[in-house]
Amino acid sequence: MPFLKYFREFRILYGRYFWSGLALLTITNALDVIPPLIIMRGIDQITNRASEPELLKTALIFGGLTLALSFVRFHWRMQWGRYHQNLARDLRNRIFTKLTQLGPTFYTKNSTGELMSLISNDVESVRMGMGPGVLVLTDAFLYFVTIPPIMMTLSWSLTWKTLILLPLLPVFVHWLGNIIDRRFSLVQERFSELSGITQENIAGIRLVKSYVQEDHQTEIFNRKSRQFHEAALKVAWPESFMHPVMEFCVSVGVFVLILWGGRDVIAGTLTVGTFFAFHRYISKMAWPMTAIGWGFSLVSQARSSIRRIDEFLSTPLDTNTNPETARPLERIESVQVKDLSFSYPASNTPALQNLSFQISDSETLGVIGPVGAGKTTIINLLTGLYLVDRNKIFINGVDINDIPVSELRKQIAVIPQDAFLFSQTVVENLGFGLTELPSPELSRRYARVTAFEQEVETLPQKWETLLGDRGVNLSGGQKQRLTMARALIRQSSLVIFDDSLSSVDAETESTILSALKDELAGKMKIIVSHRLSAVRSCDQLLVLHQGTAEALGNPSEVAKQSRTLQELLRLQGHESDRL
Amino acid sequence: MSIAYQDDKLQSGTRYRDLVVRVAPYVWKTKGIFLFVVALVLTHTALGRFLPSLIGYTVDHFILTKKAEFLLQAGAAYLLIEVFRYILMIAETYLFQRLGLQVIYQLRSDLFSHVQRLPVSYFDRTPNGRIVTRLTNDFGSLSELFTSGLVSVFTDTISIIGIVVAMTLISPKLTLVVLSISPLMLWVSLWLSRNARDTLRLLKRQLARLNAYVSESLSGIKVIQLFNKESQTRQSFEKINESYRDFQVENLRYLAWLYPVLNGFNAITVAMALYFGGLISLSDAVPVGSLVAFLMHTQDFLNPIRNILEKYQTFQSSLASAERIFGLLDEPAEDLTGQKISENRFMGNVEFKDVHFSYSPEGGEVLKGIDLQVLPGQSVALVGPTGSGKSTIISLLQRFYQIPKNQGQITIDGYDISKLQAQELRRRVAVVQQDPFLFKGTIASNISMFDPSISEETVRQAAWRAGCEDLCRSRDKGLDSLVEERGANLSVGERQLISFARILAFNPDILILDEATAFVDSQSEHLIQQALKEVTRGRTSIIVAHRLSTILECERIFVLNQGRLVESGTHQELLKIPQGVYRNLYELQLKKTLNH
Repeated sequence: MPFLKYFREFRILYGRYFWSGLALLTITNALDVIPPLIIMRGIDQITNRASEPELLKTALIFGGLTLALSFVRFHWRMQWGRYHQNLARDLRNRIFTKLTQLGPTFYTKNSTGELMSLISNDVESVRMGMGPGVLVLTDAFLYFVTIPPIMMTLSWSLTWKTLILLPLLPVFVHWLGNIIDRRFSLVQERFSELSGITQENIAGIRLVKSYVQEDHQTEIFNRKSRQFHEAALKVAWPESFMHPVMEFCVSVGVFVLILWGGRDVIAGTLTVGTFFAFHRYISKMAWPMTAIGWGFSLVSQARSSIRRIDEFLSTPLDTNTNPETARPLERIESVQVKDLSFSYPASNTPALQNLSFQISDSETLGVIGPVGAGKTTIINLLTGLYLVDRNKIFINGVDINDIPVSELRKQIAVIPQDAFLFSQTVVENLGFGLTELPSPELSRRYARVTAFEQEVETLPQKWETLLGDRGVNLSGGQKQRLTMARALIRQSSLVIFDDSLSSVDAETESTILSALKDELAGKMKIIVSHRLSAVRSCDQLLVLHQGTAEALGNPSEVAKQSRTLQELLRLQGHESDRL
Repeated sequence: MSIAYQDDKLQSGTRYRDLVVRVAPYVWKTKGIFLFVVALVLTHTALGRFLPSLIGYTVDHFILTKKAEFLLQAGAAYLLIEVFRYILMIAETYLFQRLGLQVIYQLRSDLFSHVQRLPVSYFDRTPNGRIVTRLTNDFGSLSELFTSGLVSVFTDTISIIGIVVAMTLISPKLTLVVLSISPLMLWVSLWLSRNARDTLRLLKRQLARLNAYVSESLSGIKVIQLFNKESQTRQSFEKINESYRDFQVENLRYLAWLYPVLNGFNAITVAMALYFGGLISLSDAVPVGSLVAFLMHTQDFLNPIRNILEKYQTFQSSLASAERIFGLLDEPAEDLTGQKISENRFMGNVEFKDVHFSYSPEGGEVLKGIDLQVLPGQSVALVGPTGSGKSTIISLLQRFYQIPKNQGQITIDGYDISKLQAQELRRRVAVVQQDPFLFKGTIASNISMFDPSISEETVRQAAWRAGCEDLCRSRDKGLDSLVEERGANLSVGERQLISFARILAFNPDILILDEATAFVDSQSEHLIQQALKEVTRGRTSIIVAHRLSTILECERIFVLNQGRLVESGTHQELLKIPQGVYRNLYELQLKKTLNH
């Protein structure tokens, strides 16, 4: 039972808030049942023609007591609130920490939307269950053990007669609640469909306009929107019943009170004050009855949410390093791949098959091949994003599994194909991989190398320009050059270009490549590309085709052997077998 | 992604009055239901106020005078009124919801249809997520204002008025005394709830920040891990999370005071009613039963006030949503008007006459005086480095942007396109995008674009001519096979073939093709080249070309550089220009392997 496990843990962790909140709640409830009794006394005093000072005393007691009640009520709310807000914060922290530790195996299986929902909706539902849910149930319990006994001491027979319908209330609330929940999930489904087609329409707006489909698109949208509203209306029905039916049970109680209670007053066994007090208590009892239904549904939602959270938190991590054999890494001097085969966890076709190559210090390896040939897989394995078998990849002669991932990544700068930047300033993005922000000289130097220096000058706040949705949107090429600078500024010993220059034109590409020459001299490089011009001057060229090495060696020799390369040469307008 | 935009305007300058003015016409469309519901509310509130008086009357006239035989009648009357009142409440709640949903539906439909008509430049400068949020989440917030907010404020206000009236009927003097402290109560509770509302706003902003941070970290998780930034990211998150919790506790501080304060004031009111009422009653001015009724009314005060204050806090964010919705509705729509074209088809004589263009007044010119002519039926290639103005030319040809006066013109068969009906023009000039966009649906629906005027037969023929045969055969349902969102279950090559079929189905007079740069395998490449021949046959075609094989198929090549047309001619002619841009481009790709 994950719910109880976490509940116990948080109860201990935030015990101070938890127990003081509950204690204050108990006091509140104990005080809250008294006021009707005081009013009862007052009314009886009036009917019995008591003296004015006595009535004043009753009124003052009433006022004083309820004011005291207000104070206690404020404090239990605060204490209890602190308990469940802290609990929610803890859960969010735990989930986020886990998110940063999980690798791509996990992320390919789980969508961002699901994970977002876990950290927002599920945490919120656990908070509601363990906070207000538990509270409401306790509250209801306290009502049950206080109000009916008081009513019984006032009049035993009237108590059961007036409260007779109330036990049906939780059953009803629960039943209606279930109907609402069920229908509401349809509403949510319809809503996500509606936002789905909206998103699609906006993303394809040029196409819509291009083909003059505005009206048809509006029709399609209206159809979905109507479905959504129909679903919402189906929830409106049971919802509109909720309140009246709850009040109806009270009304029946009051009806009984007028009939039998009235008789008792006439017979002299009940005072008018008691009659009034009964009226108050019957109304008060409606709340704990509904609270049970509500509390249970909050807790049950929390239970399914905490199960999802627990399952997520116990996802095993891909750790390949055994801390006992782990060694630090100063610098990458050689990379050796021996007979490497690899399949992605969810796939049964191998992404790489029997691949071998070797790169030594200051050498450049070019990797080329069509989409899906396994180019990116090599990078994923070298950077430890996926686990690899032992004795397949060696860095400086040491098995990659014996090098801590963080040590490895410190020495490798990857420039990925899709340029991802954070919604921070330009200089913060540039220095993302450093421990502190880069100096202006350093920033300028790497901006120059990547032909980004002049572009920075055109930005509104230069280096301090905020990027992203709330700031400036860079063009594809600018983003690409900034991500390149961000990787290079770390001055790692191995630099990997993962088709990084695909979004700049050939001219810019050659400018960048020549500027990089000095910067990268003496470093090991792996250049993955689908463009021949990028890998022309490599020391070794690896041609991949469906996960196997079709050819490996000096570029001009490879051009003679490899059919894939010849095909590429033809398509990109090169004379075949010459590079 | 939508979450990130929620906070862009939480504080609203819109007043309730503006909202009422904008929404009133929509509500008035359903005036039948609206007026009926208002009548229901008034009836149910009036009945509700009648009840304590009924009990008071029973106490005075039946119980204290010992007339037990009337008790059943009194009780039955009580129960009957209650049941009737509940029926009214059910009807009223349901109808209010229905009314709200109808209004929202209309408003949403109007907004969507308006968005379809916004100029492309609007989409250029607005993130998609923001527009989607307007059409989805913002309406959620607005409809909350309708279905629960306004309704409860309305009924609760009527309730309060009803209570005061009922109390006054029992004893005006006592009512005046008892209500003497209510201004103070209102002042304190309004102060608290205003603070609660303001902290709620900050809280929501912080929540949006938190969600945005998580969402961005998830998108960039690979970068974070490759740069060893896990622990630093974690620390930043914890800081945001910590302050989110602090905001929550801060908000709670006001909320937690709100109800106890209301309760306290209400208790004082009741105590006063008890004491002063008692005094009056002792002097026989008011019978005990009426005093009981008076006390019941006094206690009923609490709920409606509490409800109103509770809703008050959410109102502000609904109001902000309303402002955003109406703001979008006020965005000027694209000017689509213009003259009709009398000919059935364009011949396809496209001419650019000294066209200058810039996307924004402060931005530089993207096109700096383009002059070019494409003859009917001709296929031409546009070639040039990134940023040379190729995409701008495509957009201008479909009138996605308007060329300002005296900045040149584009004509087709002699018509100035800026003076033609935009939609008419777009029907005749079709574009195939570089990365073809597909909608969720079937292959067939993507070819017909859900347009009911395109027959099944047309779709089938278009699909076959574009070479989609293999693609359909390899899937179990042929043309009716499912296409996922954005065509995620199809390869780049397949998406292109479908977009070619689309062209054939719509049969435009002029084709503009932005060729894909992605490298596909040779078999798909072959299919695409075949389909390309099919779609360009007999049709004026302007191709933004990236592949030599495509360029060589074209009859004429226009070379653009930095917004200018620098060279034009055939492949052979252009290669002869020493230091020419085309030659340079060509050489960069080839490097010393020139054998032509």
